[in-house]
Amino acid sequence: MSGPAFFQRCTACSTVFFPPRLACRACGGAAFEQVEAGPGVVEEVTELPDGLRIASVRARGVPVVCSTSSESSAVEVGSSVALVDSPPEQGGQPAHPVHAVHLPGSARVEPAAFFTTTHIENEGTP
Amino acid sequence: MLDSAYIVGAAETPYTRHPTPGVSTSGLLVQAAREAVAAAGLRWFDVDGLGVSSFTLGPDHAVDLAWRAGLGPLSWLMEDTNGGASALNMLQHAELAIRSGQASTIVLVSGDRMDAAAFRMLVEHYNRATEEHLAPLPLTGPNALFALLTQRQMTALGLSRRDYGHIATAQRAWAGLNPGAVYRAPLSLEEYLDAPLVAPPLGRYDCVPPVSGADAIVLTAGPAGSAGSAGTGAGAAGRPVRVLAVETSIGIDDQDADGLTTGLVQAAPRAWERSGLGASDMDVLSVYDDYPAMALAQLIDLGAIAAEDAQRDLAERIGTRRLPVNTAGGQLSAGQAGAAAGMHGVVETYRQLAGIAGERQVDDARFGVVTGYGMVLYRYGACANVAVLEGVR
Ligand SMILES: [Zn+2]
Repeated sequence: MSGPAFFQRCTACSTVFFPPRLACRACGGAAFEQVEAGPGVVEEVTELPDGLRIASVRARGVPVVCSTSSESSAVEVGSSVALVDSPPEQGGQPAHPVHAVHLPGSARVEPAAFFTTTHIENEGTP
Repeated sequence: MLDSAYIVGAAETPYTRHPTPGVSTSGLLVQAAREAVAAAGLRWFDVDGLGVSSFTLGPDHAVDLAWRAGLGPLSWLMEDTNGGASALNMLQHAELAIRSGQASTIVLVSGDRMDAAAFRMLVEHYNRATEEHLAPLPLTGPNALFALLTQRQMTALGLSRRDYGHIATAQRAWAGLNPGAVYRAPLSLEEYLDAPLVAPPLGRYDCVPPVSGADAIVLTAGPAGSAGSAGTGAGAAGRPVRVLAVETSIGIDDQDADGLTTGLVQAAPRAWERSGLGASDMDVLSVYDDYPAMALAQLIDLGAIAAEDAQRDLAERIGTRRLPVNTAGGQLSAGQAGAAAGMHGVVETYRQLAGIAGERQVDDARFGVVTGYGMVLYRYGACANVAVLEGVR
């Protein structure tokens, strides 16, 4: 069942990780708690030939590789997004794919520092 | 402790886009290893050390390969799992094993029989983070990850797709001089730019063709070494090549940076210090080119290109081939034979410095540098290493 994506937070020094680790790189501790990823900002987006869009989203300072909707042009570089974890219904091997969902009404982060895919495609002609 | 170890022979099996029927990973590995030993003028029974890297050797391991290949007794054995960094990781250990006398003749061999099923298995089960967080997206393979990284590099360095095209087209030109490369037809900048986009900004020619094949080198303790005493084939192997330095850096960050800086920023200064040389002394360079952006990142980390001059140098030094980079065509044109991808550059740099690189021989090549890079933990590679080599005159 889909729900918010969770990060892992070191209980000793509060450093946040994703994917989960076994020990904290910052302080060496090994006790963690779960925290909701919360909203993030899209840093880059690309699209595979099958239409799957893959984005890098930074939330709480942590970069997450996510899928994002192929319909939603609202999810682009600079967009604020919610991070949703969609573990498969069936059991078996653990799987936590993160999906980035547009946050309606959210402020768009100034993308001046980012590179947009539209611009790249236009570079394609000499 | 001896001062140096020497590479005295090398071999690369033909690379094939589709594995030849009946060919196995272990068969490719043994073929490359035996050809390298023969090229060194040594006998198979001279081998007393073996290092192996392969994604598809299982359920066998290095010891099984040694047994099935008729080797033994060995005094040194290793198996390395670090993909694009495995060749130099093995070289780092083997060099010390030779110098300390643990072994006198070491073969390092890497390769894979990489058909579609093996490639899919590799990329979907690369590690736990991939299985749990990337494969279910569903993401199969690293193209999207390096598309995102390339976007970051374009922003950071002010580059366009055309700038990266100089890497792909120059390596294709080099490949045209390498009978072993799978893609040898000239590639123009226009063809590069017009190719279908695989994951913007990456197009078809930014992605390596997976191939089946294997690469091997032979190390000994002396420049004349056993090759001289065996009295055969030493001439065919060319000049011995001295290992001046091998340095590694694993995990310089926590996969939370931009991925544009590799561990070479730590390993390369150590290698330059140990060898007493610098990037500008290198006559040939081989960088791990899983994607053009990573080739560029490593050239910058080596000090061969200044980040602020990247656009100019890509056009004027790489595109023109004035700077001899990846002179066998690299993975982009010669092919990526699984774990052999890291060894491919070692074999080519050895051949250049040994003076046996054929049509693509760089005149008077004496010093060369090879890099390894790899093991995408989540967003980009975590391993980097570098070797500085000298053709002994
Ligand atoms: Zn901590």
